[in-house]
Amino acid sequence: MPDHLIAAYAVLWVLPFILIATIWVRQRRLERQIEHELARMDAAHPAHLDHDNL
Amino acid sequence: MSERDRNRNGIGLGLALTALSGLTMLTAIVMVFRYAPREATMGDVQRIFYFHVSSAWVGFLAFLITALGGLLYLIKGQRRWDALALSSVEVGLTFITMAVVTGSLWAGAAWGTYWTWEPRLTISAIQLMIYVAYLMLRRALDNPEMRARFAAAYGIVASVTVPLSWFAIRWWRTIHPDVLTGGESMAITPRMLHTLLVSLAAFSLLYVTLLLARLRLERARDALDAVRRRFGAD
Amino acid sequence: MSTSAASFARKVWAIVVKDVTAELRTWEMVSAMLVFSLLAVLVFSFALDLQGGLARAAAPGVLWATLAFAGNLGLGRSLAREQHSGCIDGLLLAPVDHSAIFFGKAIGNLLAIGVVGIVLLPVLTVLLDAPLIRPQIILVTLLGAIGYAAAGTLLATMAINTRAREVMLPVLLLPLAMPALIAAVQATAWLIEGGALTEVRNWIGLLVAYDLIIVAVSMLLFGHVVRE
Repeated sequence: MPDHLIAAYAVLWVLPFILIATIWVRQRRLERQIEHELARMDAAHPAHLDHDNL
Repeated sequence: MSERDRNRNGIGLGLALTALSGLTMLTAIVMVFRYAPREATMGDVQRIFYFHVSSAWVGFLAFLITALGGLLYLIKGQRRWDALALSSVEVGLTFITMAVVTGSLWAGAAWGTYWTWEPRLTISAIQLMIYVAYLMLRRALDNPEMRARFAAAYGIVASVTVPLSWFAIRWWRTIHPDVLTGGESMAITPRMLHTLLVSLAAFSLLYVTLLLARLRLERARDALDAVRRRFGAD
Repeated sequence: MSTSAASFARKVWAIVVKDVTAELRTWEMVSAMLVFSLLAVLVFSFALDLQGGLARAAAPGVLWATLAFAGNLGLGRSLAREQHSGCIDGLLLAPVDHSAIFFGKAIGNLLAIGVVGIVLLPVLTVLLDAPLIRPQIILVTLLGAIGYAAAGTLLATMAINTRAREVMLPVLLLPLAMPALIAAVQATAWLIEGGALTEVRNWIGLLVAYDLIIVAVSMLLFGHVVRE
């Protein structure tokens, strides 16, 4: 199997993987930040939260 | 349907799409390496062609979606269209990079040089620069509303120039053919055509899957902004 | 001409006159563009070692690369000056159609690029031994400049509002100017060798199509980018 073909095949996997990884990392960070904000508000004003309609 | 049910349907759809995307991609890969014939002059290296053309196709499709998203944003003013435009740019950038890199590998394998001003490769390089310019424009604007508006305008005007660039490059190459590559000449047999079509479908589905994942990220960002705005004053 | 078309033309003309008289007072922008252009030609000549046959072959490219870069300077400067003086806000408050503002500014920018072109053609004819002073080549230069000025006016308006300001303009404009640049250079190259205009009608056609599309799209989008 020629080197160039293997390299192209590797690129096919690596690039989308990099994209997925950055999306996943950012998603996790945002979800943590959202939880943090909700927890913060929960501690300060428990009555103001309406989880079902957020 | 409550928000929770809509979320569940969305997740179900996302999983189904991911599975379908994985399946078609697997089929495509098998076809590229096994079903497609071994090309007469280039040998196995020619198989790069399927990856190169498919990723280029998606790279341009994605930018078209960005332009449409931008247009709809300017018309309707709804955040979701700007989210679509931005998401499509990030995913499209991945594919166009793939197109340029595989194209370069193809050139290296076929003609011993890692760059040639072959029409498809050249236009892919220009599209890559347009993607980068789009992201740089967004990054350089602080006001979110202005960012969405300007990005939409740039996406629209840029996408309009792409077909014109395509013709310009083709005519240029016809008048001054590349000494190394000559003209585009590869006989496409039925098996090659089947493989190419399946590849195109697989890459397109992969694009949709990645786009949805990226859109989900935008929704999370919006959710965070909403939470902050709603309770931030307290 | 109907009265609304006439009044539109008058508004456009008023904006052009305003910009031109402002520039004529100091000449600061165009003179900088001209000096830059001459220096750019020198840089190209030394960098590419342009002598003899190579000089002539490179002439169309040198012409358009220089026009593009000088054009960026002019476009960026003219809109920065506008923003600095607060003129755009004044124009927006007045009952002037956004498209009239667009045409007025674009024509002004075209004139600036045109002045550079008028100087460059004879300079390059002499320096690079390339017969550039032919009406066909002047036509091609004009067509290319129109598209560049139109797209440039729209994009400069955006660029000025970014953190990078004018520096953002080349990044945005150059990829979009490719069709015009390729067509103009190829047509000019053919015309330099004594070709007839009909032989380059493909390129002319592309330039005209590019100009029409870009002017229309830029005009339509201008309203969206000119307000704060």
